[in-house]
Amino acid sequence: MIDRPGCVAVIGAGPHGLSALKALLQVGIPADGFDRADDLGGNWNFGGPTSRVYESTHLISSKPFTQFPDFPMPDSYPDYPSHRQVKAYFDAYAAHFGLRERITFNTSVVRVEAVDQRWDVTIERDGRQQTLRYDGVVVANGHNWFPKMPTYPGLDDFGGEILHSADYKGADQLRDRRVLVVGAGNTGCDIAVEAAQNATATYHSTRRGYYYNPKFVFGKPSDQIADQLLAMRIPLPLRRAAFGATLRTTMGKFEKFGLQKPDHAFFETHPIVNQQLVYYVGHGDITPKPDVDHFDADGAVFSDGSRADVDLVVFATGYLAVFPFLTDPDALDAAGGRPRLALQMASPKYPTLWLSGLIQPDSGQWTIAHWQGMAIAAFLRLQRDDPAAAARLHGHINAHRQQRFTGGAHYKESTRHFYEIAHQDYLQALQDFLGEVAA
Amino acid sequence: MAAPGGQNDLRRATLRDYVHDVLQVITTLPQPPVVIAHSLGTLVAQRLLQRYPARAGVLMTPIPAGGIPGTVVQGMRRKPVDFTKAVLGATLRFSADDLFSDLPPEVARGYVSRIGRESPWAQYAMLRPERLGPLLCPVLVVGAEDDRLVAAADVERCARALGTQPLWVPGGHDVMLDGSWPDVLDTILDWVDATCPPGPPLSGARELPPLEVTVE
Ligand SMILES: Cc1cc2nc3c(=O)[nH]c(=O)nc-3n(C[C@H](O)[C@H](O)[C@H](O)COP(=O)(O)OP(=O)(O)OC[C@H]3O[C@@H](n4cnc5c(N)ncnc54)[C@H](O)[C@@H]3O)c2cc1C
Repeated sequence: MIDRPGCVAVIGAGPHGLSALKALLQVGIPADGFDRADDLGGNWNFGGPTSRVYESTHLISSKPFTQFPDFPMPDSYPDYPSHRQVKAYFDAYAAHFGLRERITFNTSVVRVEAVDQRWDVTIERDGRQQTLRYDGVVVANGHNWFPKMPTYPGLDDFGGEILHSADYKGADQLRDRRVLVVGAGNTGCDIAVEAAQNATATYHSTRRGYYYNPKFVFGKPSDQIADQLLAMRIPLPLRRAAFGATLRTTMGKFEKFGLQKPDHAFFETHPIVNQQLVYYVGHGDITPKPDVDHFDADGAVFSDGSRADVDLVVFATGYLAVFPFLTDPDALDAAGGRPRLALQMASPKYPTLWLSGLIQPDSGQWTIAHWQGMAIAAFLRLQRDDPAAAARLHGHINAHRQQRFTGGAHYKESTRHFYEIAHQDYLQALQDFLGEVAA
Repeated sequence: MAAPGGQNDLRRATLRDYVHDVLQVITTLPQPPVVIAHSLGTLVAQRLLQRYPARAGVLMTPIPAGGIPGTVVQGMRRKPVDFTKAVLGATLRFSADDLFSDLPPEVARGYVSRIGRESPWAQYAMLRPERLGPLLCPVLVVGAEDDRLVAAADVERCARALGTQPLWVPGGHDVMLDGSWPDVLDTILDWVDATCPPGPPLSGARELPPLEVTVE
C-alpha cells in the first residue's frame, strides 16, 4: 500500500476531473488524478472508452457559457466549437496548469473504501491492482457514458442491427440503411438528422413532443439571448412566453410538421437545441413516430398502430450514472438509482467524499465544473485546517439536501432529469456555499 | 492597437474587454505568468487576478478598485481643463511632466507622442468604486516617489485593500520608462524571485511529488 498523506484522489480526467484537480492544487491541496483512458478529455476524447461524441459533434451550448471562466476558449473558435476543438482546449488547459503530470492514465479505479477517516483507493492496470491511501476522494467519472438500454416486447426477434448511441461514431453507420432512431435527447435528434442525410429512410420515435430550439436567434447563440433575459430578471412565465413566441414566429407550430405537440411547458425538459430536425421532417426525410409498442422480425410497431420496417435501430435512450467502485451503499444515499446529495455534490455520510459532474445544466457545463471544483477544494481545505467548522458546515448543507435547483420550473420525472439544474440557481447556490466556507 | 474585446470601436470598449484580451494572451502561454500592470492596467489586472490564478501580480502606480479620490482632487487642481474633459469622455492628455521626473526632455516627449487613445468606459471605471474578491496570487504594490498623477494616498489605499504595503521606488508615474527604470526592474525581479518558488505552477503540486505507480 502507498500512503499519500494530505492528498486527494480525483477519479476521471474529463472536464469535471480536470477542474477539480486544478482547484485542489490551486488552494494548496496535493491531488492525484486517475483515468482509465490513455488520454484526458473524457467524453470529448473522441474514440476513448467513455467518449460519447460522434464525428460531427459540435457544442450544444455556446462558448461563453460553456468554457472555464479562468481559461476562456480562443477568440478564433466559433460560437459552437467542434469536439476536436474542445479536446484541444482541454489539452491546453491541462498543460497550462500542469495537470497532466498529476494524472495516472490507463488506470481504472476499482474500489473506494472508507478506512479510519481516510480512503483506500484500489487501482487496476493490465489486470493488476494496487491500493493507495488518501485523505479525500473526488468522483468525477461522468454520467453520460453508461448506456441505458430499454426493453421492448419482441426486441429479441428483431432481425436487423441494434445500436446504442454510445456506439454511434459517425454517419457511415447509417449510410444506405433504413433507420429507426429512438429518443429525442440532443444525441437522438443529431442522429436522426444525420440519418436523414445519409440513410434511405429515417423514423424518429419520441415519447412526447418537445421544443426544438434553434441554435441561433436574432443573429446570436440562443442560450446567450436566454441569459440576457435572465440578467434582466424577467420572470419565468414571461421568459416562457418570449421563447414560445420566438419559436412560433420562426418555426411555427411543431404539430404542423406532424410532430407531437409538446405536453409540457418550456424549461420543464432538458432543452433540445436542433435547428435541422424540423427542417428534415418538413422535407419528408424524417418520419416522426410515437413510442414503440413492440418489435418484430422486420421492424417496429408504434403505439398508434403504424409500423416501420428498418435495418437498424439506434437507441438514443440516454445514459445512467454508475459508481461501481464505492463499497459503502450508504455513501451516496442512492435509493432508486438517484443519489440525493447536498448541492448534488456532497456525500451525506463522509465529508471527504465529493462528486463533481452529477449535473445536467440547461446551459454549458464547464463554467459550473469550475465552480464545483472551487467549492469542493475550499471545503476540503477547511476540512484539513478546521475539521470542527467543516463538520458543522457539512451538517448544515446535509439538512437541505433535498433541495433542487430548477429555476422555478417543474421537471418531468424521468431518469433524464435526475440531475437537471437551472444554471442560474445552481451557480448562486455554489456562490453562497463558497461564502459559507470562507466565513 | 486594435480595440479591446473584438469591439470595432475603441469608444465602446469596456474594462471587461481589456480583461478578456489579457486572458486571451495568457491562455496561449505554457504556464501561468507573473502579471505586471501599470496605472489603468492595474485595474484590469485586479479584475483578472480575482478570477485567474497567476503566479504573482505586480501593480505599479496602481488604481485602487475602490476609487481614486486623492488622484481626482490632485488632478483637478493641477490640470482642471484636462481632467474635466476626461470626465466628459476624452482621453486624458499627458505632458512629459506628468509622467517622467528623470528623463532628457526629447526622450520624454518621444514617449508621450506614442501614447494612444483610451476608451472612455475604461477611464470611467477608475472613478467608479467596486468591491473586489480576494486576489488569487501574491501581489506587489509599487508606488512611484515622484508620481504626479496617482496620489500617494491612493497607492496606499490600493495596497491596504489587498492586504499589503506599497513598495516605493524612485521615478515619475511611468516608472517603467523613467530614468531609474533598471532599478525598478531589479526591485520587481527580486520580489518575484523571492515570491515564486521553482516547480509546478499550482502550489498543491509542490507539496507532494506526482504519484509514481508500479503495479506489480
Ligand atoms: C453528444 C454529447 C454532446 C454534449 N454536448 C455538450 C455541450 O454542448 N455542452 C456541455 O456543457 N456539455 C455537453 N455534453 C455533456 C458532457 O457530458 C459534459 O460536457 C462533460 O463531458 C462531462 O464531464 P465529466 O468530466 O463529468 O465526465 P466525462 O467527460 O465523461 O469524463 C469522465 C472520465 O472519467 C473516467 N472514468 C470513469 N470511471 C472511471 C474509473 N472507474 N476509473 C478511472 N477513470 C474513470 C472516464 O474514462 C472519463 O475520462 C455533451 C455530451 C454528449 C454525450
